[in-house]
Amino acid sequence: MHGTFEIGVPVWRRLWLHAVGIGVILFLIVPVFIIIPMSFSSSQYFEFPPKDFSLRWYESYFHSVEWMEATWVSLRVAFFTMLLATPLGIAAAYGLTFTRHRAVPMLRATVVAPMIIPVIIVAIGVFYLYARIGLVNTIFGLVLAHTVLAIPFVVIIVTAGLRRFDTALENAAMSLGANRFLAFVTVTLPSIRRSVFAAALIALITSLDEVVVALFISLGEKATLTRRMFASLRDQVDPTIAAISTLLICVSLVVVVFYSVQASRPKK
Amino acid sequence: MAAGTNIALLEASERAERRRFLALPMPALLLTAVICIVPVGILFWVSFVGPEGFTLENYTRILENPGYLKILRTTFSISITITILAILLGFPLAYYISTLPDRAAAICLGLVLVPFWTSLLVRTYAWLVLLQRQGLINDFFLWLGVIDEPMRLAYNRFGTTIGMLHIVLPFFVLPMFAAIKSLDRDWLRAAANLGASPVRAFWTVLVPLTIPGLVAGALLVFVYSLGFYVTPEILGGGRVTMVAMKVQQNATIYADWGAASSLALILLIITLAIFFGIERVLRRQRGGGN
Amino acid sequence: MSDARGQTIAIRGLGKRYGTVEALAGVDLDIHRGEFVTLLGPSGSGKTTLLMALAGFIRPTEGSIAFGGQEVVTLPPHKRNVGMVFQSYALFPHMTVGGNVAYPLRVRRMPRAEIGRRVADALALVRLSEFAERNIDQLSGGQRQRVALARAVVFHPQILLMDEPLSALDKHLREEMQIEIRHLQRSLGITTVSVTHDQREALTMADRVAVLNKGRLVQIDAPERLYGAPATSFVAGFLGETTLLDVRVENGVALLAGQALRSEQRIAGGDRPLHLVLRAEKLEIVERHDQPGYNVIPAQVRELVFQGDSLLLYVEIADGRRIALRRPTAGHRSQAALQPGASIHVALPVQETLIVPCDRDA
Repeated sequence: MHGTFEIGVPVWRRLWLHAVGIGVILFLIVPVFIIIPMSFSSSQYFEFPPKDFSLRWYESYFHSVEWMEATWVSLRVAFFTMLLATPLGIAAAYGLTFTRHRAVPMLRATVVAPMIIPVIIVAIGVFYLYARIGLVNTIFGLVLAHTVLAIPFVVIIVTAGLRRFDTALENAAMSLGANRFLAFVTVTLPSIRRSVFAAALIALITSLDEVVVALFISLGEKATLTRRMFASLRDQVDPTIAAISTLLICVSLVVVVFYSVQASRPKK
Repeated sequence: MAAGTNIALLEASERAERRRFLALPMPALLLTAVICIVPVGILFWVSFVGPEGFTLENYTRILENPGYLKILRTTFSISITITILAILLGFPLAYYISTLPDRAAAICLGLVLVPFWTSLLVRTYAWLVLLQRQGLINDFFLWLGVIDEPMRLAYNRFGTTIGMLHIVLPFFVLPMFAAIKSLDRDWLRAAANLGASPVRAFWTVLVPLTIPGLVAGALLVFVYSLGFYVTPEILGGGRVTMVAMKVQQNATIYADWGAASSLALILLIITLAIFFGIERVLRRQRGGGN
Repeated sequence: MSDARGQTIAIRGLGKRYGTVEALAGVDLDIHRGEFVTLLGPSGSGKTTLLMALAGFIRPTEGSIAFGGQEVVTLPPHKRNVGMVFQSYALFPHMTVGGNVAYPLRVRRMPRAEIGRRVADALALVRLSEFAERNIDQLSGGQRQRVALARAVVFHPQILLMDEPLSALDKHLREEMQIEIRHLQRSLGITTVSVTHDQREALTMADRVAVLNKGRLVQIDAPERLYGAPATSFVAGFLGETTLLDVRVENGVALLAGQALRSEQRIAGGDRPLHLVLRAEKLEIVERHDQPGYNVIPAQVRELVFQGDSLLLYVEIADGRRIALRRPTAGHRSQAALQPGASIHVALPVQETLIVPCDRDA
């Protein structure tokens, strides 16, 4: 029983603890996994277990022009958000971690503010701005807004990586003739690559899962996947969503597995 | 050359280097300011401007209009309910995982992470599938014969609360687990050694030591619940209106920016006040930890 | 590779302040071509700050640093062309041994063939030719230290800096590496500055040792002179096993507990407090109180410690102060005469009688 609390609780109490613990875990995961068999049902209505296996809802998803359009919008926005938020966040994290200046705490607070401010407030602010400068219903506008939402996560994760990083390595690179930028690219970045990778992944997911801002600034053929799902859920429930949700759950599972593998791999 | 050489030169080079470093966060900062901070600031300013200049009309309306007061009451009572439920379910789970052997604990944490990483919309949809009139829970109980007709589980406050609880619970469990795990096991051993029964050791040593983590986690859950939009919109079925939903309605349906932003400002002030509180709690924990 | 390619270093009026704390103050130091200078001092003495200022990682508040006559004080580290060995070695974990050593050549955009040749030369120099493809985590501490050394000299810098280069190694390996580094430095003829808090390491490796205390340079001299003629009581106390005793001066004669001390030194009078330097291994035990050529001090044995190859004695002189002295282990008979309580005559050769100004904390 290495690394555990062992205070000799009697077996019957342990049993009670097991029951509560497993119960809460079931509460957390069953709703997520219940979607998967649902998506393979042929019925229009929810039935569990599904009467017969069918790929009907996947077909309806892949054959729907609207869903495909929305998926394509989401993927593009998420990809460009990752591409923009990751370098901006890394630069900000580096600058804020290695500068001694009284303005640093305030600057840091500003950069992470979009994570703390309720997203509805960010959304009406962005909508208010975009309506005036003509960025509503544009991929570019969505990417900028999602980048602002993703930057805080990138900054926090990369900052944690930089704090663990031995700065003597970067100094060594500079003493060997690399300027600071070259030293960063050839030595610091490879050393914090796990944090960078995690940050990029989170930027991607942040954009992919975002609903509220998209609700305000993306419509019609520029609607994101989640925005269209939201509209569909609010109006009348289309079982196609079960198929899309299953695909999104698979994306999350890949992320969790990747994360666990990263975490359990011994550090070199 | 004596002492005092190159002072100005070195100062200038120090300043230049500091400028180079402070330039690095600027792109991120600028983007955040332009896209988020400034528009939100302008909106708040708008909330104080009426046809005849400065006005508090938007705020007096919130205080006087029973509709608004009801929305605020609903928002707070749902958030408080969720916070209490999160503590009641989350603390035992965090403690349970901390008692498991490493491998089992890693699996359980992974299971907590799956919903954490799953789209909020997907999880809301899942609860709709479970809770609605022809949903799985009703089907199951009808099949068992426990009930004769479907219960109303979704499209009301109950469904909203359950769905939101599911979404915020990992936010409580993960930091709580970290807080319990970071405790020195020797304290519990010491307590046992001094003659405390295991149950007594749990309540007198473990619980008090994890209270700062618990308070911080609970505040996080509370503040997150206050700003919820998607889940109550779908699972509430129009019968539950929370602050964020009213903000959205005012902005998009009525195009009343003053009304939308005044409500948003109240939400933001409460949010920031609670975050300030969380920071105080965590700082005290760090300061008094040893 | 025996061409002397070192460069002179001239440090003038160098100071570094952090707020109100002076980490370095008024340091003047000249280091000659090809010379090996070690900066020695306790922690907080400013030795590391000085080294980091030479490397360009710390920007001084004032002063000048010139390499080969050229001012470098505002130059960033990568333009100084200085090789550096870090305390933790700072080997890049994501590169092989060969990759690490090739790094400074790659950033200088050298042709591939040239890089290959130079890396092979540098690894041969530190006897690690077979290790080019190894990962850093497959190396022992001593091997890592040699890779760090090869990496620091492969691009033919004119100056080599070393920050506590041996502190991570065990005692045996440390002594071996001291000699090895010394040979390497000589054969390359590279001007070298290292930092250490280990006096033995400083005395073994360096041509000259610079002793620092509280941000100031106290003395810089060859090891023998530093040991034989310390400038102040701080230097005397930092090197060797030393007891320092206050002495009074009357009419140009130093008095220890009322007893006049003969010395070959001219003793400066004045009000400055002075210390008599008593090196444990220079003290002898004699039969007569008037042994010629010695200052003889009567004392009583208080404690006797057997340390294998030597005996460590703590003796008490007339006014109650204690002195440490070390004798080679002799027969049981003479040891018996040194039991606690025994009265003896402690003798200090006149030519070893050093009286230095006091600069230590009260």
